[in-house]
Amino acid sequence: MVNFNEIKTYLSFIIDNEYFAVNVSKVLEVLQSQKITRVPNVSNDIKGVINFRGEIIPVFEMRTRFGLPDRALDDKYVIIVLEITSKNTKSVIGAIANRVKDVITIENNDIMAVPKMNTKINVDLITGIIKLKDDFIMMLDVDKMFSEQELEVLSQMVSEKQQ
Amino acid sequence: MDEMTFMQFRDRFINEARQLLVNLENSLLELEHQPNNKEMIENVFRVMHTLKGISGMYGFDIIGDFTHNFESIYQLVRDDKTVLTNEIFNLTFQSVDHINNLLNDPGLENEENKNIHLALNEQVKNTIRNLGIQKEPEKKEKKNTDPTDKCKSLKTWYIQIQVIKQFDLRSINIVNLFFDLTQIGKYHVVKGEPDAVTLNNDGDLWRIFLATDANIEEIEDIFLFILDECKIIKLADEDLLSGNILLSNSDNPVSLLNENTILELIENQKISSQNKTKQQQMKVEVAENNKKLINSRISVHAEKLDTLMFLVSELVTTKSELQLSLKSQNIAKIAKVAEKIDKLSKQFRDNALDIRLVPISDLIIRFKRLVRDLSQSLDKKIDFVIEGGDTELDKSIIDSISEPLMHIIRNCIDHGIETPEMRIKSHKPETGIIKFTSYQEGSSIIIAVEDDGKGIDANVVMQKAIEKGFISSDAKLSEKEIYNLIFLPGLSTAESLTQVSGRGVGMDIVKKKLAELGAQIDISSDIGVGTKFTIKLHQTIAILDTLLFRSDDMHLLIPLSDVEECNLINKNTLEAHKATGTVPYNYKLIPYIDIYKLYNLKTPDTERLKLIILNKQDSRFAIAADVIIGEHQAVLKSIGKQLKKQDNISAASIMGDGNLAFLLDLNSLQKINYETQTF
Repeated sequence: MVNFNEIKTYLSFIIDNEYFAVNVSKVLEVLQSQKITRVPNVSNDIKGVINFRGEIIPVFEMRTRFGLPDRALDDKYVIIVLEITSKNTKSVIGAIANRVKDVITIENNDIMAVPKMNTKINVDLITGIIKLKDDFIMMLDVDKMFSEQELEVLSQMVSEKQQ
Repeated sequence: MDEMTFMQFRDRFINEARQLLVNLENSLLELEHQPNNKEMIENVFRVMHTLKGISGMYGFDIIGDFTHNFESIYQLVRDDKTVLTNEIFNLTFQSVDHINNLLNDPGLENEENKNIHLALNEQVKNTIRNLGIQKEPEKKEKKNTDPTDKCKSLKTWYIQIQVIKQFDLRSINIVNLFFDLTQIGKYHVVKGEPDAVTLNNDGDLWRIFLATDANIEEIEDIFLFILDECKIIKLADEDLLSGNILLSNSDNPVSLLNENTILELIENQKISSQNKTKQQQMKVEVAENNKKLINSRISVHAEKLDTLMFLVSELVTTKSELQLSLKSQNIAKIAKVAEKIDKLSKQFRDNALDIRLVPISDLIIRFKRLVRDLSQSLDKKIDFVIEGGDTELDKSIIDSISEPLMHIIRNCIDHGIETPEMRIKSHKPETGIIKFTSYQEGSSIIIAVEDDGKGIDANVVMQKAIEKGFISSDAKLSEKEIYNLIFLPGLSTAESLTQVSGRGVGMDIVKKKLAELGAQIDISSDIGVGTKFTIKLHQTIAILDTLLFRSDDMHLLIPLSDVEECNLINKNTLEAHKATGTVPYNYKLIPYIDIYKLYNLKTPDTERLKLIILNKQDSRFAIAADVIIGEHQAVLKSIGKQLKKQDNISAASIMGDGNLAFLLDLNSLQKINYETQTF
């Protein structure tokens, strides 16, 4: 049995001009431009739901999670279907990115600690930085990103804003 | 064998134990009616015995000890040395509940459980003392009887157990194994040194000589959980232990059985035992796979499985048919196969739903017990009559309907049925009747609970509701509406609070729970004659016949059974009534729910909209749509916890083109309407 945590293979993807990566063990599938069914009256970062292998899963917009500006969905996007673990329960969600770039295998010493960045991006969700040639890729902690707690905080924020 | 596997074993035990307890309860209830039913007494005894046996195996010693005492009582009953008294019954019922608790709390960590445990233990001991049992451990008894009876057929076995650390982990209690051994025969244990020749593992090695008439399977049963670490070899077809050979020198029987002889024997049996262990390993693997499904099991009628098998074989043939026709590229042929697959998939669906159906009688045992306990503690005499226990419902519905039904029956016992004195006064038979009926009506299942008690006084309910400010004092309500007030939270007509009910919680939960299942509840009552609760629910919730319609870009579903009529309506008419939130229908105004506004949808440019008239429990309301698409057999899927806050949408369904449609929750939609109406 391979321990998935040891796998240092990452799926890299692009949101706006930023590079991100997520461990492949979390990725179930990447869907190209699948139609998302809108759900009324939910927070901005839930774009809707899709039918994934017979189950209905919510689709999140990752950009708002990082603090990047929201945008209307055009034709060019991918849905990365992730299996996340929070509070010992697994759930499947979709996350929207502009496009996926590559699958990369990296060594431990390629990963750098997160520097104190002066960016708009929410640093809490990033576990490390990979330097690959000239690019810097931010490694995401998706469990944390979509943990229920995080979601709750977010929905509170949304409702406060609305008020 | 790691922690996980052990937990699975344990879960399985707990599951098994619970089933045994249900079985026990059933027999007890039966026994109470006919205390001399030998078969039932035997059954009670057997269940307790099994429970005792298996609980020790998994480290639930506390249950083992506890049941042991009970076993003694029932042994006396079985042997006609005593009769079953009410005291024993009550004690046993309490104990059944207690054992149920112990399964969750074997360490007695809960203070309350601990107290109960001590109290019950004391009671049991007292009972035994009163019955005059000299505590005679049955160990001895068996030892005395068994071997003497069947001395001639005794065989001698050599059993070798390699003790490994994992025993500890699996909570296998070797001492209990030895206890089980005493049940089948006589044994002698030699604790040996680690044996590097036969086994590579370090650790203690136990050698056991066993004289028994049991066959290899029975012996293997005892060592079932450590078979991999065991060697069982037949030494002789006679009893070497009590016979002249070993008895003469019973202090050290090994000296007689030469070490080499044993090794030789082991060598001889190696080939056959190797084959065996392989088989056993396979068995274990299969068993382990089964254990993964333990959390909820249902027993399925063999006939339904036969149908499944038939369908699978059909599918296989159809598949090869499809392959052939694809090769021929003959569209007509392919279409024919496609049609067949369509038919098959429908049959598969029906079969799958059918398999999930379980008879409602699985639930009834709990109710029987409730009626018995409650009526006794309230000093009422009640007969619980059951009709249609074989009506089948989906497993998930059975699970979630139990609680509301308990509430209803509790209410019947507490508020419905009068005390025997009162009943005699009002010229009724002393014993009240609670009747539980279930039957199928079309695609729905009806469950009715009926009592012949004092009934609900509509006036009292009205007064209470006015007192508590639920309705204004000049409100005019139909009888049905008045009875429905009972389901409001905080309204209870019981004059005194009892332990059972009367706190005003309960009926509102009943209503809520049933609504979650999409079930309807009705009450009818006559003062002095009785009350009847009728619940109407779908047999399965997974698939629902719905009406599919589209408003703007949203596809929505409503249960077809709630649709009364589809109509056309002018936009102008809608606009004219907008302020009141109503639409005209059959010369009356009925509430209109604007889903365009609710979901921020664009109203179409057309002059007319489709109007759907809905009828939910005799109250009508309407919603509008762009296009009515038609009937849709909806396979309902949960929309997930992340979207839970959507309370108007209860589920989603995948349409043929892969898009999703949402099922509207009419109950909560109706509520919205009431809220908007108020301002």
